[in-house]
Amino acid sequence: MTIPTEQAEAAKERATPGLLARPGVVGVGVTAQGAVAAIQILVRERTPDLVASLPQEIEGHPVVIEEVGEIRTL
Amino acid sequence: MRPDVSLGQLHDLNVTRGQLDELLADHEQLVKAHLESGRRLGLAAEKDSMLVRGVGITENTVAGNPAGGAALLMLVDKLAASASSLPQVSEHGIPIVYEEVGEIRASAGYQAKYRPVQGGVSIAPCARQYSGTLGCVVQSNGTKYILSNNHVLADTNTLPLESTISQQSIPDGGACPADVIASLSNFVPIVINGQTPVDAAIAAIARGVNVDPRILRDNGVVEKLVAPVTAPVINLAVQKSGRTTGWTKAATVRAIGLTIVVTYPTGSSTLQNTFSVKRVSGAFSMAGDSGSLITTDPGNQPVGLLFAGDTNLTTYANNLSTVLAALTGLTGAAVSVVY
Repeated sequence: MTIPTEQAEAAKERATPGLLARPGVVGVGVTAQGAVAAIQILVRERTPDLVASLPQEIEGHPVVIEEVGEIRTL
Repeated sequence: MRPDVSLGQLHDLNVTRGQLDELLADHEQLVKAHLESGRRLGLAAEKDSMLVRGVGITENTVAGNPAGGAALLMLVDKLAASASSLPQVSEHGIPIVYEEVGEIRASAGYQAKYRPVQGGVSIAPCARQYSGTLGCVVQSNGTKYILSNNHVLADTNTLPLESTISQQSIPDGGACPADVIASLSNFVPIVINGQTPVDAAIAAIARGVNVDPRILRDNGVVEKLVAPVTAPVINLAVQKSGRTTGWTKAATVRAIGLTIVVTYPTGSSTLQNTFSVKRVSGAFSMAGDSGSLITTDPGNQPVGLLFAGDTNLTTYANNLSTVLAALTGLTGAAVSVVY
């Protein structure tokens, strides 16, 4: 099943600079939550303070926070 | 030994902490009972019995279970006629799925020397002691190049143009000049504390080196790439061949349009137009797989150039269309995949 992602990708583009400016945020993308497109925010460490400071939705799209540690070359 | 699997890795399967404990306990029991002992499944006769080659955790795709959930995966050499009489659930009532895999060979095959040179094998600069992967062959203005990452072919902007590339890498047994297959032609610079379009580089194939543009799969099989390059979409099933983990499948695109901050030896850089890939069980890639070409499965259409990973075993890649566009901009002539 294909999930339409165009609107979420446009919302993600607008939100990315502000989100990446926050210490601890290492990525922003578009993923799926069930059958709907969601904004994925990658964080180095999932601290309560950081999570509380992040939006729960962006332009109507749900936000999924994922702890990834450091993203390194392989 | 229990597998090192966390709840986060099963996050799409709605597995609770208690279910994870049962899953891991039954996984351990199956490994002991079949994988370690070599005890065959099914009937006594060899042709009616199955040898267990692996035990894992996967998504329960049994019909009539729309809730999904986790299942135990038993990899067997073949599905004999007696497969229908095998246990369908484990001790704690977890569904067991059987899959025929033939023989699983160590991915050491991808670290060997290959002539003709093929996609998915070990490469690295003669002057460095690390290993990376040859993604595929590309062409521009009638010249053929191998495609991999900047951090593989140019050691993150530090090697001069014309640096020689060995197949296999020096740690894998390559010796220069005998094993030189190419020389560094161009790389998209990694901008530390700034934006980098893609982690990519090309090296012109040396005169007299025989190259097969197909991708190496297991047991010496090669698979032809299929045009055209396609964009990653969420849940797209993908595969890759790489120097360290060999051929990995059973993986899907998790996120697209990803902008990520990547840690390089001298600092971090922000890369746009990336996507992430996750396997239900185990790693899609590990150190040394950088440069691998990610393709659709089935289909084998090029999708991305693998270059990074995180502590959750998620793999990150640049969209291949972005890679080709960046190289085209750099060289001033269209760069395209050789199929």
